[in-house]
This record gives sequence, C-alpha cells and structure tokens, in this order.
Amino acid sequence: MKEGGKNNSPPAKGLTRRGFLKGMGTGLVGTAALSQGLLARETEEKAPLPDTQSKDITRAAVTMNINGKPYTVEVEPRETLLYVIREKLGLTGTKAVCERGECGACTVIMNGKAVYSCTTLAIEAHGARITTIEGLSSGGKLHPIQEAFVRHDAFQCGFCTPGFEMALKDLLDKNPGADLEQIKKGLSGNLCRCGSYPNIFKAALEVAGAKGGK
Amino acid sequence: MAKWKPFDKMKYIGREIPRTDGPEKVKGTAKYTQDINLPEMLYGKILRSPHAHAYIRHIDISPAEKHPGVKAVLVLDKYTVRYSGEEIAAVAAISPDIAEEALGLIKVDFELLPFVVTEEEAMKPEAPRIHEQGNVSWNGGGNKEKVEKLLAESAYMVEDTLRTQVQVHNTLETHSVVCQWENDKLKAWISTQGVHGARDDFAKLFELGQDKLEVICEYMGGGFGSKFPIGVEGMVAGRLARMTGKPVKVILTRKEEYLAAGNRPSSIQKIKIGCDSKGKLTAFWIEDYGTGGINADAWFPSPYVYKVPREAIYRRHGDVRINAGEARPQRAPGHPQGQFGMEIIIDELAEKAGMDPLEFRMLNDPSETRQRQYKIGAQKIGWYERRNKVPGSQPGPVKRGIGVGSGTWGGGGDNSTKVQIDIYPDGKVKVATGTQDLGTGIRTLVHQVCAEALGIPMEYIATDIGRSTLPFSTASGGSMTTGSVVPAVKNAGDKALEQMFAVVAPVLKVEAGDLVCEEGVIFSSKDRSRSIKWKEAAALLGSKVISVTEGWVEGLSSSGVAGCQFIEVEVDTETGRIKPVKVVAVHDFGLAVNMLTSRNQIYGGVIMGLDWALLEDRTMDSNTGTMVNPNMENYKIAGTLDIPEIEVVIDNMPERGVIGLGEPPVIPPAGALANAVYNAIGVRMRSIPMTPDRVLEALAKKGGA
Repeated sequence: MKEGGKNNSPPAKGLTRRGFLKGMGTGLVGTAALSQGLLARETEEKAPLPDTQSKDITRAAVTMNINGKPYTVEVEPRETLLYVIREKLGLTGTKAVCERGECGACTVIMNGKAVYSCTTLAIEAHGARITTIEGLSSGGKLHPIQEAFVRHDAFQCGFCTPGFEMALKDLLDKNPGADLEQIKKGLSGNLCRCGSYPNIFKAALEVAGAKGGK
Repeated sequence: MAKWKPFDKMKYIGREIPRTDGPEKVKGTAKYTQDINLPEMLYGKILRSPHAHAYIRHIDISPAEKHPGVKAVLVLDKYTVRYSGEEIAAVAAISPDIAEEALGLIKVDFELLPFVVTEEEAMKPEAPRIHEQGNVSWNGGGNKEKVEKLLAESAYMVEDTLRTQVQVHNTLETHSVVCQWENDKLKAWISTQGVHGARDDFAKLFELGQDKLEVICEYMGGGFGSKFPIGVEGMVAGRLARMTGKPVKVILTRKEEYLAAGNRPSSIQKIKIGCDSKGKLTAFWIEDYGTGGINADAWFPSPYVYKVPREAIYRRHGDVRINAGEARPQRAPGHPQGQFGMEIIIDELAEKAGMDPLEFRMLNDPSETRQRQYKIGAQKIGWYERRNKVPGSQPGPVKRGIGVGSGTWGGGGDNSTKVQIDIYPDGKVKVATGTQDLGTGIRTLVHQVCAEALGIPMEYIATDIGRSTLPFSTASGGSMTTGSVVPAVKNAGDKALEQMFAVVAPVLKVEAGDLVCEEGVIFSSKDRSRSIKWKEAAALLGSKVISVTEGWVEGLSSSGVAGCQFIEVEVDTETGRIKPVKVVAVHDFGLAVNMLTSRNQIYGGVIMGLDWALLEDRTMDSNTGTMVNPNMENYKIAGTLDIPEIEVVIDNMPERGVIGLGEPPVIPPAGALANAVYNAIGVRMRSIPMTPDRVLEALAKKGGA
C-alpha cells in the first residue's frame, strides 16, 4: 500500500476489504502490522485447506488494556475489535448491529477517542487502552450517564444503549457542558430503532448540566 | 368482577417508575440472545439465493465439508428459490468468518428463471408467472355500481391515488438463536416475541415432547412483529446443533434481516369519496393492491376511522406477489397504510367542501374519545391560530404547515395467561410468568402491579420472565401483552395476599377479611394498632412458602383505543427537505400503569411513523431482482438530528382498566405529516417516503418553487 505505514489508513481504491485483509495475512501489507511490533505466526497447517482466505491466514497476539485490565489474545488479521471483545473475551455489553459503521451500537473508547469497534481491526488495537460499557461504572456504582439513562428511561429494548452511553461519555469528556444541539450532533453517529431519542436527550442534558454546563 | 382501586389511591400504578431492568441494560450486563456464548459453541451461517427466481439443479457441498473449520453442512430440501435472500443451505463452523467462507465454497448450479420485483411489473398480463396461485389474488368487489351512483349524487366528491412503500422492521437485534442439545432435550435461547410459541415450533419441528424443551428470551433487542415464528434460522440452529453435538449460534446479518426477516406490505390505493352539502360522508370507493412479497397478503383496513354507511362502501383489494421476502406483521399491521390513504382523501374532501379539515373530521368521527382528543391536540398545536388558512400562502422559500391524523386499535387481553407469585419466609417475593419484554417494559409493569397488589415496596420483589418453563403467557403481539399479563399479576397478588392474611389474622387476633397491607405493613382496617410488618408476617410462615398461580380475570382490562396526532412541519421549497418541527400525540390506553415507559413508547411510535413517511424505503432493482439498499446507510431510519419536539398527552382513563399501547402511536404520523406538508406548500404529496426529490418533483408539476 502506497499510503503505507499506518494500518488504519483506508485500503487503496480498487482493493476490496476482503482482499485487503487477506493481503495483510500474507504479508503484502502485513509489514505495517509487523512494524508496530505485532507477532505474526504461521497457521498450523493440519489438513490441506480449500481455496479460501483461511489458508493464508496468520495469527497475531494482540495485547490491549480493556477497562484497566490487560488482555493478550491471539487474533486473525481479519477479526474486528468488536468480534474479539464480544466473542473471544466475552465482553458482550458492546453490541453488534450493522457491522459496517452505520449505527454506533458497537462504540467503545480507544485511546481517548470513541470508535466503532466493528470497523476497527483487532490488530489495530494492539497496545491500546480501551473502555467498553463494562468499564463505564466502577466500584459497583452506576456512572452518572448510566444513572441518568435509567432515571429518564433513555431506552426501550436497550440494544443501542451501550453505544449511546459510550458516545455520550466521549462527547462529555471533550465538551462537559454540551448543549442540546451539541448533544444531537455528538450522538448523530448512533441509531435507536425504538425511538427513545427524546429521553436520551433529557438524560444527556442532565449529565451535561451536572458538570456545570449550560 | 375484579376491580382496581381508585386511581389516586394507587401507589405503584400510574406513576413514573424507571424500568427495573434499567441498571442491567445500562451496564451492558443484560444478556440478549446474541450475548450467549457457550463452551465449544459453533457459529451457523445460512447460504441464501443471490437470484430472485431460480431452480436449483445441483448443490455440491463437498468443498465446504473439507474445510477443517467446518463441522456440519446442511442442505435445505428445496428445488426452487423465489427471492434474493431465500435460504438454500447452512454450515456450522468454529468461527463466523470460517462459516461465511464455507458458504462461498458451496457450489450451487442454478437455472435462472424470469422474475418480477415491483407490483406493476407483476400485474402486467405478460408478466412471468412466479407463483402457483398466479401473481395477483383479488378479493372483495360488489356494490360497485351502487356506490358509484351514491358518489355521483354526493354534493362533493374527490378521487386520488395514494401510495405507501414496503417498510422493514429493522430491529437492532437481528433474528438470533442459540441451540444446545442435552441428550434428547433442547435448550434454545432465541430473540422471540413468544417463548411458548417458540417452544411449540421447536417441539413440532423436532417431534419432541414439550417437556423436553426450554426456550429462553430474557432480553431482546426489539421485535415489532417480526419475531413470532422460530424461522429458518431456528430450524437451522437446532439441526446443526444436533448434527454436531455442540451448541450452535445463528445470528442473522443486517443484510439478511432486510432480505428475509419480514416487512410491512406496500399499498397503492385508488380512492373516491363523497359527502353531502353539510360535510357528512356519503360513499367510499377503493380499488387497491399491495405486495407482501412472494406469498403474504397486503390487506389493510379501509375506510379508516371515519364513518361511512356500510352499504355505501365499495372495495376491491389485490394481493400482488413479487420475488421478494415475505411480509410479517409489523407494528399495527395494515393500519398505517389505511390511515395514510384515508387521511389524505379526507383532507382533500374537506377542502373541496370548503370546510376546516379538523371540523370535517369531527363531523365524521364516531369516537367520543377522539372528539375530546382533537380538542386537546388542536389547542396544544395552535390549530386555529397558527395553521395556514390558505395552504402554501406563507412568503419565502421555507414554509410551515400543520396537519392532523387519527388512529384506532383493539388490544385486549388473553384469558389463558397465568402468573405465579411466591412469598418466602424472609419476606421476599418472586413473581413469574412466561411473557417476554421486547423493550416495551412489561417486566417493570409486572413488578409494579405485584407491588400494588401486595402493598409492599418494589425492592421486596423479584421478577422472572422470558422462559417457557414459567407459567403460560401469550405471545407479545397486537398490543395484548399488558392486557393479558397485568390482570393475571393483580389476581395472583390478591390471592397470595389472602393467604398471607390467613396466616397473620390469628396472631393479630383480627378477622382476615379486615386486613389490608400498605407500604409493607399489614394492619386491620378496623384497628390500625393491630399491625405487623411484612417481613415479620412472612417469618410466621416458618419454613413454608406461599405459592399461588392464578390467571387472567375480567374487569381489570379492556380493549379499543382512539388517539390522534397533530404535526407541524417546515418545508424548504428550494431543497425539498421536510423537517417535522413539533408533534402533539394524544393517546388513550385505559389505565396508564407507568407514565414514564408509556410516554417513551409513544415517542417511539411517533418516530417510527415519521421514519416511514420520510425516510424508509425498501428499494428493489428490476434489472437484478435484488434489494439495492440492505444496510443502515441507505435504508434510512431517523437519527438524533431528525427528531422533532414531541409533546405526549396521556389521555388517562383508569376506569377502563389496562390496555396495550405498542401499536397505536405508530399509526397517525404519516397521514398527519402529509397533510401538514400540504398545508405548508399547497402541493399534495401522494407517495411516501416524502423524500426531497419527490417534494421538488411535486412542486415542479404544480409550477411552484
């Protein structure tokens, strides 16, 4: 990849996501991953694989700090951060809804920034500090955002809720006194099918107000 | 007949009570079906037809079977596929990625067949026949000449053709299931609107005794009518799990959800309507059709809400089959379609008759409840002061307008619902019933009503729902959950309390019949000094438990609701963008059990209705026979920036008992919005979604903008 060097730069035009990921495994662009100190290992070839991506897949051990705890997990280059935290680490509070960066349900905070974990590769998260919904509260006490969400009934089915909470945390970390317009813009990357938006706004405004905002 | 206490005497009912499962949801600890991860669990994926219509000549699964990560391949027994997205085969593998790869290794030899994916193409005489029963099934008719005569004799008559599109449920949690066999027993976690119905489905499918099954749905990410049957995904998960001897999880992708997990049918409605010189409706004529995909009907109620003499109605309805995924019930099935056509034609007729559209409605609406609600809503939106007397007359490119629309729904309760209440010697209480909380809040209602019936704080009570091994409760559909479950909880609570009083009375030396319990204290209504705290009373049970299972009783619920909404919009005639500014939603649902969750459900109905009117559209491509927008980027639903101010008016009628609320608020928005747009710009929008391009096109036709 000409853009090279950063493994989170978009794939070059004409390169499919699958091809891109496959390439990473074979070393075409894998140097990007290696240059960041990732361990690449050959798959244990037991049986001859049919002609699929799997036969080219390598695995890498990724170390992340999630909610203050260190995790080392072996991942395939094609695995998303969402998949790894949900299915491999069992942190299922983060939800999978669209899996293509359209709905925000999978939002986590990585190195101080809200990201869609469905469009973040797990290997990109090597060395990262991540907060998921499970890490929002501490010491058995609800975070003020969580308290406000419950008090104002800011959800119905609750499936979008962890994503909204993490997006709101990121927003208020950066703009503690956000007003309604700023809240709407800040949360515009998240979707709720039950239509609990008015209550999400009430909860968000309350937390923003409590932090000395408008 | 059972009765509720006077509304102002109730402590837990009629209040704003935060959801009792709220903390689990906000912490991310609530376990939805998708969150179930079991040891050695495999991932199932379904191979679907990329073609709209084809014969399957041959399937070669051997390359997929050779993949070391694949544990089972299942071929579904079929020779024809009739829509893009129809299921063909399935695999179970050690990861979702490998399962998906394996699908790509299955070689299917298709013989392509001609297809149709729009109603108009399907109805052409030369259209390929895509179903044994033909492409269109007509019903109704008769009375046509008589009604046409009545129309001709009417003082005023209008006719128009209105159109609504296919809407996809789009639940955030896609259809999901995890199956695990333990010898001859099946345990299934499934995102379902009916755990008992799912138990039935699995039992029939696998010829199992119903006692060999446990179906679990503790939390679910929305249903909206799409999650009644266990579906192909349920069957596939069960079979793959049996083949492999391992638990199998099948989660539909977002794309699969759009293609094959249900939708609201379309409607194309040609309507003629007449009234007399005073504005009373005289006749209604409708020829309509719509598609529910390959084999579901597209019926909707029409005429809607407003009274037309029965003998003055002519209707002919067609169900059109196209090569697309089948419709399923969707939040107030049929009603939004019927409402959209009716509200627009009523508005047009009122204008022709020279009457205010609201006055015209009040003249023709037989519902006393709605008559009252119209007045409430009109006052709140400023109907008489702020609505344009001449539509489109505001100066400047950005114009505002106000419109109104109505709705009606049945609801009611199912008398087979049962609830078990256990009172333990430590004073703790468990209330259990096999209902399921789609996000509607029924778990919290069960909790509140149990506290109300027993007269104890909610903290003493734990709820247990969402499992088929709990007492029978009906599926959650038709806004019937509250009407079914709440009376049964109250009845079981009353009976459990009677047993508690029988234990306490001899100790307090009073008549059991004189005892009451309030705020956790049992006392004699004749002598308040004779009292005992709930926990001390419970301790009298020794090691025994009071356990009562009771069912639904008459007198605590009813059916039939009204409701209307007033909407103010802003239309930019230069960009064609419609922006809802304010919605006043007036809804009755009998005794409002929880003001907080009810208001939220009304918000949700309004927003989903607005979505349908402005954004959502399943777009089929006639060249390829596939849906072109099966994702959340191109199939739009509202985000934070699209939400207007919504003022909810809960028209509380406690004397009626409880009635469900899920469906009613989704009905009025589309018609009300279209009428508001007309009031703003003076140009009729006849099709939804009312996207900017359609608005500009309509304006251009009028010669405006």
